[in-house]
Amino acid sequence: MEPMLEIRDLHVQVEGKEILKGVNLVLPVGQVHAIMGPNGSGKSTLAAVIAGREEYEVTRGDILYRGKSLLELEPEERAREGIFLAFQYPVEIPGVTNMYFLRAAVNAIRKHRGLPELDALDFLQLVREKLSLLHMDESLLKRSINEGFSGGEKKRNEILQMAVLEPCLCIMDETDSGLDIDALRVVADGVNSLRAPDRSILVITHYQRLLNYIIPDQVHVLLDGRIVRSGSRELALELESRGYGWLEQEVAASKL
Amino acid sequence: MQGAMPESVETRAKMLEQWTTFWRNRFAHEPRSLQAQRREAQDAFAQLGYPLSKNEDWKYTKVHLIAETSWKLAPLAPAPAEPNWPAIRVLLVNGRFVGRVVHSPWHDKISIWNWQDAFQEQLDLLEQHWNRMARWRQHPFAALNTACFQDAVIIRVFPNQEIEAPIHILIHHDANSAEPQACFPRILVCLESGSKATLVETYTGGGRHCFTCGVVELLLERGAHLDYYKVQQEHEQTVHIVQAYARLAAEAALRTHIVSLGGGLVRNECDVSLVGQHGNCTLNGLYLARGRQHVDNHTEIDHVAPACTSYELYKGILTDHAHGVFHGKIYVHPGAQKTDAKQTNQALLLSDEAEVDSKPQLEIYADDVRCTHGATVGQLDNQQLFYLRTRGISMEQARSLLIYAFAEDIISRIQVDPVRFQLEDILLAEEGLPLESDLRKVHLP
Repeated sequence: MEPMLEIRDLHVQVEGKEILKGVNLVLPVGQVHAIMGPNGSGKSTLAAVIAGREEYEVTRGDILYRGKSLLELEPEERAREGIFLAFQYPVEIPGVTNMYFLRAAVNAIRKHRGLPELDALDFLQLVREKLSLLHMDESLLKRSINEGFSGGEKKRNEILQMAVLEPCLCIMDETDSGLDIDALRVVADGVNSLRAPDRSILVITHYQRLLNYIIPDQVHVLLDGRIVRSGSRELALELESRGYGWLEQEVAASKL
Repeated sequence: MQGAMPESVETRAKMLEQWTTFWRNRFAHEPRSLQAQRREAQDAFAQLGYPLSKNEDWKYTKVHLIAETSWKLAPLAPAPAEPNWPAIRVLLVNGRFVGRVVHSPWHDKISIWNWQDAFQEQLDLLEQHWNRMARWRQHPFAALNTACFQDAVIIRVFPNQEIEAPIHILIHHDANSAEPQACFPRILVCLESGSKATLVETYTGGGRHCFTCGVVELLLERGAHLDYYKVQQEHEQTVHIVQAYARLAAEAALRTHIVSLGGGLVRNECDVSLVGQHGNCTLNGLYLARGRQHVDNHTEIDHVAPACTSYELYKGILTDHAHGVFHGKIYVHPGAQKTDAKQTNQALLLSDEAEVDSKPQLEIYADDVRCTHGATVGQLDNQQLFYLRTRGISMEQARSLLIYAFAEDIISRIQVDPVRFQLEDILLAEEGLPLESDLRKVHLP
C-alpha cells in the first residue's frame, strides 16, 4: 500500500536561509509517527510546509501525499484532500464565531468530497458529539475563534476541529506545549480516539512527555534540518533521559 | 468667512431666493421666536457660504458639486413600506413627518410630535431646547437645515422612564423628480433626567441628484441614558451630510453607533458636549466604501466638565477608488480634570486605489487627564488567512471572513437585534458568505 506521506530529500528556505536540508520520511497509512528535536531544528517548518505555508520555499525534493506531490496545491486544497495541521500557536480571529468558522470549513470539505452541505441542526449534532469527546463546553461555539481562549482551550479547539473535519493525515505541531498535565491528558485522549486504520498522525514534539499518552509506532529525530535517527518508541525515552547532546555529537562525529 | 467661487455665489443666491420665497409662504404660521431663528440661519448661511477646501474642517471633503448644483426642495412623497420589527416608529419622508405615531403602551412615558404639533403644544420645550445644540452659526449645513427644514420629529422622554422598545425614525429620501432635490430631516430628542431610551435612525432612498441635509439634536439631562444608532443605506450617489449634536448633563451616558453603507458623498458629524460631571460617551462607527464613495466621519468631543469619559472607535473598509476620512477632535477645557478620553480609528484598505485620511486633533487645556489616540491603516492578516485556509476555506472566502470579522467588531456592539441581524446579513451577502440566519435559530447556552 502507498504510504500516507512520503518526504523525499526536502530542502526548504525561509527568507533565504536554509532550514530543512534534505529530509526523508515515510509515514505509512494507519500509523503514528513522532518527530522530535531541539528548538530550531526545523520541526515547525516541516509542519508548515506540509500544510502549504507560502513563505516557505521548497528548493529541492518533494512531498508526496498518497503518492501524489503536494507542492503545487494551495493550503485549502491540501486541507480538502484530508491534511490537517494542528497549530502550535492557534491564531485568534475576533469577529468570526467558532460555529460559523467550523461550519464553513466542514462544508468546504464536504463540497469537495461531493457530499451535501450541512444545515445548522445537522452540523450542531455533529459538533456536539465531538465536543463531549473533548470535554468542551458548547458555549465555546458562540465565541470568536480562539479569542481570549486559555492555552489549553486553544489546543483543545485544534483537536475539536480535527475531530470535526475528519482528516486522513494529522500533523500536530507541539500540541503539548503550554499544557498542564490534565489538559495534556484530555488532548491525548482526543487524539487517541481519532486513531484509525485509515488515518495517519505525525506528532511533532520537543519532549517525550506527550508520547506517554500518544504511543507512536516510530520516532524520528530532526537535527539541524535533517532526520538523523529513526527508531522505536524507546528512542524517545532515551532522548528523555540523555537529552539531544549525545546525538548531536554522534552526528558531528559521523561527518568527520 | 470663506471665499467662494463665483458660480457658487450665484447658485447660492438663487437658491436662497427660492427658499426665502418658500419660507414666506410656508413658514409664516410659525411662532415669531422660531421664525426669527430661521431668518438668522438664512443670514448665517448667506455669510458662511459652502465650505470650500481652504476650510480645515473640510480639507478632505470637497463640496463644490453641492455648491454648483441648483437644488429644489424634495416634493411630498408616499411613505415607504415599514419594516416588521417592533418599534415605536416614526416616518420622515423627504423631510416631512408622515402619518401618526402609535405607541399607546408608552404614552405616559414618551411624547412624539411633528413640527406643527410641537410649536402649538410645546412651545416652552422648543423655546428652551430647540436649535440650542446645533452649531448653526458656524456650520453652513446646519444653518442651511435650520433655514429650510419643513418638518421635524420632536421626542420627549419623561423623567425616570425607561422606554424598552426602540424608537425608530425611518428617514426616507424619495427621489421622484428628475431635478436635483434636497431634503432637510430635523430631529430633537430630549431625555429628561434619569430616563433611558434607544433611538434608531435609518436613512434610505436617495438617488443620483439627491441631497440629504440633516440635523439631529440629542439632549441628555442628568443621569439619562441613550443608545443611538444611525444606519445610512441611501443610494450610492446620494449626498448625505448630517450633523448630530449631543449634550450630556451630569452622569448621563450616550452610546452612538454610526454605520454608513450607502451614499456617494457622505459626511457624518457627531458632536458631543460633556457639560456635567461623570458624563460618559462611547462613539462607535463603521463604514463600508467602494466604487467612488467618499465617507467622512467627523467627530468632536467637548470635555467641558471634569471626570467625564469618552471612548471612540471608528472602523472603515475601503475598496476600489473609495475615499475615507476620519477627523476626531477632542477638546479638554481648562476645568475638565480627570478626563479620560480614548480615540481609535482603523481602516482596512482592500485596493491600491482606495485611500483614507485620518486626522486626530487633541486640544488639552487641563493637566490631570488621560487622552490617547491611535490610528491604523492596514491590509488583511496573513497568519489569519493561512489559518483559515488550512481548514479548507478558500482564499476568497477567507478574505471575506476576515473583512466580515473586522466589521463585526462594531456590529456586535449593536444591541437592537433586528438591526444587528440585518447588518450582519447585509455584510455576509456583500462578501458572498453564507447567511447566519439558520445558525441564529439554534439555541446555545
